[in-house]
Amino acid sequence: MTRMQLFAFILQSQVGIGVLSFPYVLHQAAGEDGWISILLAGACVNLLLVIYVALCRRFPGQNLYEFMPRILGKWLGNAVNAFYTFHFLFISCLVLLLEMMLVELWILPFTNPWLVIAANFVILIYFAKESVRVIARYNTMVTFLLILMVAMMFTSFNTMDYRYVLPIGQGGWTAIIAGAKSSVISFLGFELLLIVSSDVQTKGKSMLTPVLWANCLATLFFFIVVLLCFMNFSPESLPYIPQPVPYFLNGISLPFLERLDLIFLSVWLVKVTATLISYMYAGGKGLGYWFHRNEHKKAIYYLVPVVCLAGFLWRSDKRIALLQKIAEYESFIIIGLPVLLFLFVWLKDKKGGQPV
Amino acid sequence: MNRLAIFGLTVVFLLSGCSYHSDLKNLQLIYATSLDTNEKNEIVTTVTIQSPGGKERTVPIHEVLSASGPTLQESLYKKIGLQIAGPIGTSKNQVMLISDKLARSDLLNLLDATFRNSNDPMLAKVAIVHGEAADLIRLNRIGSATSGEYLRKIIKSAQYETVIPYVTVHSIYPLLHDRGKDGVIPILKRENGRDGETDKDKAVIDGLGLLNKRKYSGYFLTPEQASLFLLMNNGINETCVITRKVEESKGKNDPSQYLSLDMVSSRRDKKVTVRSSGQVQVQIKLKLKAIVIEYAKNNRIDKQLVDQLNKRFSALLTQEAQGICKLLQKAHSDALGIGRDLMAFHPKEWKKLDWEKAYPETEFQVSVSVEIVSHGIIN
Repeated sequence: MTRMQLFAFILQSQVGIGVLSFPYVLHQAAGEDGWISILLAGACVNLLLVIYVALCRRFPGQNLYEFMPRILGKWLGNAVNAFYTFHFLFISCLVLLLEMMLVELWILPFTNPWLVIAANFVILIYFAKESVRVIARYNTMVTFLLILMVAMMFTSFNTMDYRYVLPIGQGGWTAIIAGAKSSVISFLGFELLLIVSSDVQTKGKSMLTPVLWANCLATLFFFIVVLLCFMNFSPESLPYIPQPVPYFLNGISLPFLERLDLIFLSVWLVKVTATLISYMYAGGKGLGYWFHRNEHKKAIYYLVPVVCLAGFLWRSDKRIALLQKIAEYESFIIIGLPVLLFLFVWLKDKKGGQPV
Repeated sequence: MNRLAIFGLTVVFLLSGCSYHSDLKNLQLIYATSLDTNEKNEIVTTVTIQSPGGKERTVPIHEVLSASGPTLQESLYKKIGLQIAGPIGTSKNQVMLISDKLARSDLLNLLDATFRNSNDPMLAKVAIVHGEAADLIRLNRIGSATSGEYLRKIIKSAQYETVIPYVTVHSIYPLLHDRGKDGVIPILKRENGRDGETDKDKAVIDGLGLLNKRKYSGYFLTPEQASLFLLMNNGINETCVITRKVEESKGKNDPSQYLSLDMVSSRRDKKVTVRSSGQVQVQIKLKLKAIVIEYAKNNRIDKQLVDQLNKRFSALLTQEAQGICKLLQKAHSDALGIGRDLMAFHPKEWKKLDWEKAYPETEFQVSVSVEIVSHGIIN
């Protein structure tokens, strides 16, 4: 995987399922100042990424699953590994479930939602078993769709009102920080760096630049989307619209073109598959490390059907909300743990693998 | 393995179409919907349905159906759905007409079924009808268009001419929630012609209904006022022609007293301030640039006359604009979005303010200045 592909890989994993309801989630947490929270969250994620890269550099040629037992010892290390594997599979399930729900809500209200699962099943079996190079190439290819998505958001300014976001900073810092906290789940995807870091050919250059660029671009994308939605919907109406992005696009009528939301969502579905493949790959890598001598291919064949069983949890808003809540808390542990590990490693000055 | 995969893929792709299919040819497409109320306080829905028809290229057949029920869902989707042969298709709905009686109830509650469904056409144009809304649906064909298409075109052309704003089911929903701004909805009415052949009944734009929060206040702007209001609020859409009587002379009414101006650009400055006593003060300065398109008086338009006309027209429009603001206040309709300005620029004062009470006492200072920039190819 080249550095460019690493950039695309991280960016695609970050921009995914969360986009559609991100403005709503932010508004619930931070009120009208939610758009500032994004910048804050983006900066925090950048900081985390710096630490991740520093951690990975201490163990060149090894990924998280491999260096974890070296840091924490066999038992504890493997327990943490299991937790990470669980996280990746759990997020895959959640993404699949949310995709199912949103497709039914917005695109195909009469179609059997299991077909979404079936389609994803085929894609995952086909893609996630491949090497990370193949996946990263796919990610690089679909990166360009991001431009299309942003362009679609910029087709209508009729209902725009900048006064909706004024006055700036009315909720104070607590609101902004609360918003940053709740937007972390939408930023998720950068932790995959820990899994793929071993496969990056840096050719002597730093791994940091591409991942920081990826995160900055993801932040910018979220920022544009959220700000546009905040300026299009009054603060009073936003709590009533759980998916503001397609709702906003639904109202745009271009010459010869209506229902822009359907086009946007079709592009968005491609993004979601990219996220899904990345997570599935990471999960498969975990099980592959234990049982199949690092061959994740074998694990994918039985993991994908298991993840697809998540479809049975479908059609209950309450259940999905609960899963999202779990994902939120669990993710904080997942993204926070490497920071502790780094401190631990740094203090004990542990190094592993072949020196660079 | 490979063969199995190929077989599996083929099955998934070919058979997924069997999961659900709704053929366009069977769909009974609703082209216009109207909502009335009857003496039992039920909602009476009237729709015009057009089926795509057979292979022959014939004029589309349309029929009018009506049903009543306690809610929109009951009366429209269920009861009308039962009356027609084939599945009901709402995706082509062009206009959503609401009778003025019904519009005085909570619109958010009334239209909930439409807002809630992503498959319903969010771009259907919303209008209030003075009188019975179903009367407009029952209009006979005008030209080649069926009533749904006809009504949509009427509304569209009025939008083009800056008489009414762009109001759809989609745009009205966030507005009904908005605390800082009240919506406006175009008003249509049926005008009876003399006979069925040469002078048919038709629909005309009757102005702009002012909403008070989620309800129609009952007050409305005439089409002339509506144009000026839109200039004050949004600006020119495509064209905007304003004709006023600039000369008063007793007894006679003749074309030479009128001046028609085509507005080419508009600039609006709005300043909202709050006095220490809590009174809100609004200053609106509207600057218009215009082209003379009709001034039938046998006069050469020279610089002096232009100045004179500028002054006269500005004075007329200023007076009218003040009248509009008075009417908005009387209707308790904050259609200019003053509340939002207060929220954005004077958040502290806004918190202390009881907008319900303060709005009618708000002081409006409006001035319109017109500048004639061109007078066509003759002087």
